[in-house]
Amino acid sequence: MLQRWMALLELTDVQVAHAFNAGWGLQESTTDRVGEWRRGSSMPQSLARAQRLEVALQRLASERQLDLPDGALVIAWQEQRAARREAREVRPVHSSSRSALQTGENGDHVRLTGFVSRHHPTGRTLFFDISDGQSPYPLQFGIIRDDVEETTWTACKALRIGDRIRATGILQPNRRGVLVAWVTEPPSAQEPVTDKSLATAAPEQRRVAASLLTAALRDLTEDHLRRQGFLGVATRVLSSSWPDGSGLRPLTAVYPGFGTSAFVAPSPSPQLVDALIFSGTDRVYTSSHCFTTSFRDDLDGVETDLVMAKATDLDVNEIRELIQDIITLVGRHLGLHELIHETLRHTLTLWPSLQPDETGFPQLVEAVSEDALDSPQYAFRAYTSKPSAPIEATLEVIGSGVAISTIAIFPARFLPLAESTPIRRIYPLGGPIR
Amino acid sequence: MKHSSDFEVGWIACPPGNAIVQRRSLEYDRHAGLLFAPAKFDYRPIQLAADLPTDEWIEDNLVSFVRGEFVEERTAIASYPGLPSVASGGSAPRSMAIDYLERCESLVYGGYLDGLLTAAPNDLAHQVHAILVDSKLGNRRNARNLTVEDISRDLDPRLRSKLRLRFVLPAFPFKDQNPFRTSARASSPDFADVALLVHMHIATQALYQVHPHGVDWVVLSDGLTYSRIFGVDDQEATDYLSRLSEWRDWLNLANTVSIVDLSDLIRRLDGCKVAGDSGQFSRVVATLRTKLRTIFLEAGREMRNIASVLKRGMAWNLNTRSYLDRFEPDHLWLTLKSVGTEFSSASDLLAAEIDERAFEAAIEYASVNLALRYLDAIELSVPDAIRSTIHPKPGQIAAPSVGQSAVFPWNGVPVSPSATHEPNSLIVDGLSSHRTRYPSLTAFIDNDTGDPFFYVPNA
Repeated sequence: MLQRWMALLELTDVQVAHAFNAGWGLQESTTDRVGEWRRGSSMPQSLARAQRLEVALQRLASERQLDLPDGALVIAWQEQRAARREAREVRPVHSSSRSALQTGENGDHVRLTGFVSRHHPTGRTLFFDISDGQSPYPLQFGIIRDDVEETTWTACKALRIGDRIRATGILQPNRRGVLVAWVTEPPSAQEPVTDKSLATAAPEQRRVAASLLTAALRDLTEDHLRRQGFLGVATRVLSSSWPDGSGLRPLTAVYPGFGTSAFVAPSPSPQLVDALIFSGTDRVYTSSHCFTTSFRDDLDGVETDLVMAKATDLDVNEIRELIQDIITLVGRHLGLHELIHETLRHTLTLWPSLQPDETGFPQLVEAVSEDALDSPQYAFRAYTSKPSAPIEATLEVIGSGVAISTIAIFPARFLPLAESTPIRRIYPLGGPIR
Repeated sequence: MKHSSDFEVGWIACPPGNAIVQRRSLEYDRHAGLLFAPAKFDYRPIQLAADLPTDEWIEDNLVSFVRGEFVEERTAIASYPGLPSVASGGSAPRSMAIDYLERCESLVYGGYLDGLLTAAPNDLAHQVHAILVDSKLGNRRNARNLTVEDISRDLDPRLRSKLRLRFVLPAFPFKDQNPFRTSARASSPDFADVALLVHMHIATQALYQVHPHGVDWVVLSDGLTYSRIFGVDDQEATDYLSRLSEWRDWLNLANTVSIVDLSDLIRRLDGCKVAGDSGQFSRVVATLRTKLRTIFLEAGREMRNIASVLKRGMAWNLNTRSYLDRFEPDHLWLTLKSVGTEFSSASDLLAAEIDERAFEAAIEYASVNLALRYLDAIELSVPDAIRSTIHPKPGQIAAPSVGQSAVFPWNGVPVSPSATHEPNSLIVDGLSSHRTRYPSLTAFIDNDTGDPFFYVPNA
């Protein structure tokens, strides 16, 4: 539409820019507006500017005795804006300052949650920075009073340094070519994740919600192990050696200039055996991480939280009771009593007598076929219906009589059961509601 | 060639006449005290169709094959634009590939992917679709050819069996030996080829964030399959494959991109002897060769057009470097552009020679490709893999895009307008096409090959 008008009026870009300036009551020599026009806009950036430009062009048309339909430019502007909006539906949304600053492009959307770290109102323009911990530099948001609804302007003006907010905008360069996120919606206060559950948390809150739940489950498990006489051991994750072979693949840590690389151990198991040997105790545990690129479970990543316990005085039934107790505790803690048979899949083969206990929480353990395993006398995995195996246990007999049992608990593998558990149930109110 | 990935080791061990199939197992690591579930490979006999393609099948599939891979240019032949003047800029630091990899990986781990997934519906098929159609992590052209339902159909059986998502991509033959496109030897991969490896890797990293059982690519390098067709020495194609694998290993991408040889697959298929002594693949190729020769020489107007399009495509892909010793560049340019058109002159010795080579190449290239199609060779040989392609078409997943590529990485050279080599900033095109944008370039040399690794525009 605008191009047609320009052709009809025989106008160049610069003349349109001057007409635009005139609409703003500016001198022809005002280079900013000309510059802005010539940066490649085929249409003004805001509705107000489109209206002013239309007035200016109508004036030019009337001087040249040409007839231009009233309001056509504004309608064209609205249509183009709607089309752009539609096109932007498929554009990426940057959810961290790092992403926006490193890979953002003109026209990308930004939805950032963080602290307001600077607030700088200048008349009809306002800039504020948001820091989110993902980048050493904050992302600058900008807003021009004439381009937005009054409520958006008021909300931005009311911001204070230190506010935790979620702001949305579209990246566009400022006059110096630096990308600024131009506010598109009123910023909203970040709701505390403790008021939510995994199911209701916003996508960007989910990771924190999951980590709060995981930590609570880990604490619960450790607490139970301690009460059962397991001695806590602090284990290291870096190891100078890890056996080659067909087992779990460790990650390697390379120190430039330090010779051979070290391993980020997949398991604290060897250190727990050492602790059993040297501490004189029969039960030890540690809270650690499993680092490996080998696939173990649907819910695991390269790094997974792990609580591992080892004992020399447990038989098969005692291991079973320990697993039952942990599952019962977790069930109570997460408020899952009502989910009995829906949440756990009963595929018991080795212990067919295992049934839900008096609490009603299911106690399900799947025995791994002994044929598939070369060394353990018994190996069990407790499965949930999601599916996931949050607890594994093995009993190995070494030499002619020493039996070492290993119980590995992966707190994060319980999370699919906890989608509806309010985070406030476990945090920060001092542990589970019993 | 060193085999660094599990798939490559499994591929080499696959017996003739067998497919390679992944399976999840359950094992116990005694040292770690933990159970784990590695993917193992089984080998299963392939059942190939014993019959040969009919004339009707050949004609139908020839048309769709040529239209899918080659553009029917109807415009007048442009005059020779020349090549950009190239100054030497010294060595290309090998570390730049690592820098590029890190920048690309920041798309996955720096919040860009989170934003992309936040905007997509919260189910696996939608999220995989969002990644595959994204211009930075996947390929925008997938949006036209792939629906969420297509993705769902591919994902569901693999999820049930806890299998990795494995994309198989026939690609990476050797560096194009058309002098108007590249100046490097056929054995020299450059930054464009390496960048595609990197983009395939970051696509797997992004998909791994949503798909629990892992993701990887299998490149079926087709250099040795096509080297003789295009007049490239076999050793050059082998060296290209080795160098590409070295780059892959140096960038530590062996767990996400496996590189194997398409000619291994063909030899293995020939291990299926369904009639007589010759392998079934060779029988089908021989049938196609005979039939295509007849079609190209005697067919009606439509098939003649198809043959001309294919011949033009072949001429442009032939190794024509040596002609520049005897002919002027503009003469060679016009000759290559005229193949299969009314502008081609039968009396011109160069035109006659190139026309004949293009004709033979067209028959061989189409025979091999149609045989792969007729026998479902790739689908049967790697049955749990999802077919990917460099020629985007409905139902197949397009390989990730590399910057603003007008041609495939091996068919052009990369110009990096950004000093920091930002993701997707590379412009990959033939040298003569770059000339219209950049009359003057500086080439940075790969010390291992002595050939240009990338170019930057001069002011």
